[in-house]
Amino acid sequence: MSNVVKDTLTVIFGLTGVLFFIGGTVGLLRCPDLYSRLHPATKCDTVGSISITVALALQIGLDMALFKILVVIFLLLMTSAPSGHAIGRSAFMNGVMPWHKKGVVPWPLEGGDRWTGH
Amino acid sequence: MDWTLNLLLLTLLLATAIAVIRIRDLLAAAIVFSAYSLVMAILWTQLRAPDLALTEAAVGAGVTTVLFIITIYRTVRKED
Amino acid sequence: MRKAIMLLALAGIGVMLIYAVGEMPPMGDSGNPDKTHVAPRYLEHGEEEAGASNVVTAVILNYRGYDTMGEVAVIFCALCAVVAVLGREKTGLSRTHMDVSRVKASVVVRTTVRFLVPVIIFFAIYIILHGEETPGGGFQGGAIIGASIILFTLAFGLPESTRKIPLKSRVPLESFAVIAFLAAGFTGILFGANFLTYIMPGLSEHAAETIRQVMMMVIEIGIGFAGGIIFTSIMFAMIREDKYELQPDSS
Repeated sequence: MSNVVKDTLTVIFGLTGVLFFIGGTVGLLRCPDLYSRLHPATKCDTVGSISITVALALQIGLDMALFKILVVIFLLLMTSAPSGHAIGRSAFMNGVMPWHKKGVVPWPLEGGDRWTGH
Repeated sequence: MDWTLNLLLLTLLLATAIAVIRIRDLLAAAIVFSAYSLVMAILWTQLRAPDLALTEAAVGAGVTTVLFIITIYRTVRKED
Repeated sequence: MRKAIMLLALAGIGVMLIYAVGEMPPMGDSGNPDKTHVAPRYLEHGEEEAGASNVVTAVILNYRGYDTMGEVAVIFCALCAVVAVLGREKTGLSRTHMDVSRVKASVVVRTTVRFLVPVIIFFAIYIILHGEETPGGGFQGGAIIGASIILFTLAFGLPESTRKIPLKSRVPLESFAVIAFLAAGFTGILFGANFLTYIMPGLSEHAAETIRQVMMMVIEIGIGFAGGIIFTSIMFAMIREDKYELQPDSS
């Protein structure tokens, strides 16, 4: 792979990561409730971080550090997505109400019976 | 470059430290304290002390947060 | 009147402290005694004197061995205090609020934790055993082991966790760090040297070096595993809830 292609790919991946991080931060500040905030927050952790680590891996090339970066990507995938899932699930089980435009949530939600086992 | 990163981390450290004192909700304070430990761990690696960084990340951000949350769950959540 | 005396005494102490600060060597100055005597000694002779190429490990285990022994005893005392106040968990019977609720932990979390915990423990063992050359050592590895067991307990519940690591096997391990330190310390006395001496007099150079490596390894492993198990025991004692105990297992 020539240097130009490598540098271009690095810039593309890095910018993707930065874009996702900016979007995630704005979403975290602007979204109304826990469930909609989890959505941008976990995108930050997965897509944003992994894009930036892939950009770093491209710059490093074949090296021992490349293996470490692959391990980092793997651990990011293994930890951030399930933790987001766990937060959302426990909030739902403990009865945190989703936000609704009219202020009143039609409860139980459709499919709620299946999840809570009532 | 090193200098700006350290300044940013120190600012974040001060902000989290003040937040831990000011927040009345103890659960939120415990979470912010774990963020403080994480920033502190990164600062230790910046200061070339990886041994301390490992301890700070494992004990500060991991174990004590869980112990704080268990204690809050068994006592009260709001500080009077 | 009392207020005036108090203010006078405080002012006197303040003046004395300010005077003392003025006499102190400038902070971080390269001409201070710790920079001219202590640090070069550790950096130059640490490897041959202490037997560890990682200077931090050399300081913790050798130059400041007494401090480390005190720290280990402090952690053990913390466990004793927690157990004295809260009591031990009852194997197979201790429950938390999460365990008695109908909702079980999700499959995603369980699968992830089941995969991650062995990886974390493997990493912790590497940190403990490799502490002489790379950053890390007993305390760090022990904290990571404790964190991995806490992770397992949060996902699978207290009964499953106390079945995997029963009280019977934890009790001897908890005091292992203190015992390892004391054993290493008294080995020196046995050979006629001081307490916590690693190089035994009256042996050939090769044998003394081997004995020192083995002793440091035993202390590191002791601190690591005992630290992890102590964290686990504190967490088990704190997380269990008395009102749910002694109820028959529904499943």
